[in-house]
Amino acid sequence: MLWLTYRQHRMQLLVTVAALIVVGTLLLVNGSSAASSRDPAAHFRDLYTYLSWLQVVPVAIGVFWGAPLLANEYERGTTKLAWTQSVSRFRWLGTKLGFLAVLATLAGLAFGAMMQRWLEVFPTNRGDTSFTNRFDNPALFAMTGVAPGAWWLLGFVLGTAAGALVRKTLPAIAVTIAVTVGLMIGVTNVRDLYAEPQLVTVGSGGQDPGGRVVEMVRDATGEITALKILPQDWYWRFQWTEAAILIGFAILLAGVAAVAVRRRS
Amino acid sequence: MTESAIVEATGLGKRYRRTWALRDCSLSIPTGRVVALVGPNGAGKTTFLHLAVGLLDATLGSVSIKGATAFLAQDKPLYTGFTIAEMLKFGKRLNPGWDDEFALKRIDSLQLPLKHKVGKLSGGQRAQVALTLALAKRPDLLVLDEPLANLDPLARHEVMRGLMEAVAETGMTVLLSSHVVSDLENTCDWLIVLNGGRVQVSGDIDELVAGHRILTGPAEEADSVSRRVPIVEDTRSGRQATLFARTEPVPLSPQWSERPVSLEQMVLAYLRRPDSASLPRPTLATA
Amino acid sequence: MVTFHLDKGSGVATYVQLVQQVKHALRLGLLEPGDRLPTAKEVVAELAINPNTVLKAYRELEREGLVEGKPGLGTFVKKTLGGASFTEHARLRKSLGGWVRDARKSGLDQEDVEALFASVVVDSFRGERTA
Repeated sequence: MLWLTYRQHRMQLLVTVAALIVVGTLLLVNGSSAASSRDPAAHFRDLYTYLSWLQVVPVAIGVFWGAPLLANEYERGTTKLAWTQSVSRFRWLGTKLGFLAVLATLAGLAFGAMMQRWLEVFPTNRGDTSFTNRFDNPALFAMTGVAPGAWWLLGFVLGTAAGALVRKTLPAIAVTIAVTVGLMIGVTNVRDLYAEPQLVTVGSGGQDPGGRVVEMVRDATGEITALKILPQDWYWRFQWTEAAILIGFAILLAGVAAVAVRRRS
Repeated sequence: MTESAIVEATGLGKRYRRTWALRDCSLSIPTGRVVALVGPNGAGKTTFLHLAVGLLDATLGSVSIKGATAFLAQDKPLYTGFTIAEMLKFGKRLNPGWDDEFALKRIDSLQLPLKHKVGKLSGGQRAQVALTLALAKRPDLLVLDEPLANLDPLARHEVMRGLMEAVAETGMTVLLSSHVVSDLENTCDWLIVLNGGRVQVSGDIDELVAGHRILTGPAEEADSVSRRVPIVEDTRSGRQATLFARTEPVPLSPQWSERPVSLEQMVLAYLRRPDSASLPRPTLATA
Repeated sequence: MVTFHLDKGSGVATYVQLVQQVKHALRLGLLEPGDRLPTAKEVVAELAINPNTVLKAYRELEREGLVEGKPGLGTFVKKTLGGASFTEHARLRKSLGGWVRDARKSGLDQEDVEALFASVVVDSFRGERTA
C-alpha cells in the first residue's frame, strides 16, 4: 500500500520537494547577503514581496495533493479496482491519508524552519522593520514555527474530504480553494482571541513588556489610560494554539472522508 | 448431480432514492459454472454484481460468496499512468494470493511489453491486462461486468478465449454480465435473466434450451394447446399461432409443427414478456 | 487427432456438435482406438468455448462406450464406429439417388424434396431422440 501511495502521488511529492529546495536556496542566498549588508531591510523587502505569496501553499497542497486523492479515483472508476483487492477500504484510505498527511506536515514544518532561520537575520521591532516580526505580521506567523505544518496538513485533509464528498476532481478543487481560503481569513481574524490580553496601564511607570496592542482603554475624557497587549513571548503559545485548532479540524475532516468512503451506494 | 452454491442471494434488493434497481432477487449460482447474467440495459445487472463483490450495500436481503473473488468492472479501470509492470506490482502488493509467475507468463503470451504505459494500450489490450490482474489473484469466483462491451470482434474472441482457458485450467466459477446474448453462446453454461430489477430465468442453459419449443399451428387450436403447456409468448397472425412454450416434446395434432429454440430466441422471448418466469422453483407457470 | 469446428447458426447444441464430429471422424476412420482426443484446454484454446461443454461431450462419448478417460493422461478412443460400412454407404446412397430422381419426376423441387426428407427423418427417429 505504501508503494502504491507513493507511486500514485510521486509527481506531487517530487514537485513539492523541488519547490522546497528552490525556496530554501533563495532564502539562504538572500539571508546570507542580508547578514553582511548595511541595509538588511532592503533585502527583506526584495524577497518578501514574493515570499508572502507562499501563505497560499496550504491551498495548493489541498488542490494538488488532497482533492485528486479520492475524486480522481471516483471519476476514473479506479475505486472499483482498488476496493476489490484484498485490502480493506479502511486500510486503503488509512494508508493513503496517513502517509501523505505525515509528508505534508513534515514538508510544512521544514518550510517553517527555513523561514524561521531566514527571519533571524533581520532585526525585529525597530522602526520600519517591525514588519519582519513573526508575531506581529500575520503572514509570517502562519509561515513560521509549527503553524505551516498544521496548515499544510489541514489543506491536504480538507482537499481529500472535499474529493470524498464531491467525487469529481474539478468541483472538489473549487470547494477546496473556497473553504481553505475562507478558513485562512477566518483564523487570521480570530487569532488575537487565542488568549486574554494583558492590561498595561499607561504612564504608571510600569514597564512595557513589548507586544502587539490589541485594544486601547480610554477614560471618560477620551484619554488613553491603558493598553491591552499580547506580549511577544506568547508567540509559541499562540503557535501551538493555532496548530491544535487546525489539527483538530484535520482530524474531523479525515473522519468525514472515512465516512464518505465507507458509504457503499 | 448435486452442485454446491458459490453465490447465494436471498431477497436481495437495492434502492436508489425512490427507484428499485434490483428487487426481491433470490438465486444461487453453482460452483464451477460459467454463468451469464443477461438482461436489457438498466435491468439491474451492474447493481447485482456490485452488491455481490461488496462495492454496494444492499437495501434489503443479502448476498454471500464462498471463497476468494476477483472483479473486473465494466470500464476495465486501470491506473493509466502505470506501466503494465507497475499494474502487476499493484496486484502483487494488494493480494496475498497473487500468482506472479502466471501473470508474467500471460502478459508475455499476449506479447505486451511490461514497460508499456497502460494508458497507451488499445481497448482489447487493456481488457487483457485487466483480466490478467483479475486471474492472477487465483480467485474461486471471477465476476466480470460486460467484459466484451466496447471491444472489436477479434478482441472479444481473444478475451473470451483467455477466460475459457483459465476456466479449463483452474475450474473457477465465472459470473459475467452481458446484454448481447450471442456473445454467450458456447461460453456460458448457466443463465440468469434479469429484467426490470427481477430475476426472470435461472438455470442450466442446455436444459433450458432443451426445455423450450416453438409451436406453430392453427390459431383456433392455440387456446387448447396453451391450456396444456406453459406458454411464454403467444403470437397470432391471422389463422396462424406461434407459441413459445416451456415444455418437453408434446404430442400435438398433425397440423402443428414444433421447432427447437436457440438461446437467443429463448432469452428474447422472456425479455419481451417480463411477467413470465422460469425459475428452479415450483408453481411459477404463467397464466 | 481430430480438429473441432463450430457451426454457430446450426441450432445444434455445441456439445452435440462435438459428439457428432468425433463420431464422424470415427466413421471415416480418422480416429482409431488408442488415439487421444484433444484435452479440454486444447479445444478451448482453439474454439474459445466453455471447457465444461467439452467435458460434457466427452462424458457423453464415454457413456456411449466410444472413448475412455484416463485420469492424468487424457481421453482415448476405445472403439471405432462401425455404423454402416463403406459398401453399405454406397448402396444406400444409390437407392436414395433413385428416390430423389423419382420425386423430381413427380414435380417436387429441391425445397420440397428436402422438407419431405427432413420430416421423414424426424418421424422415424422421433421415438429414440427423447429416450
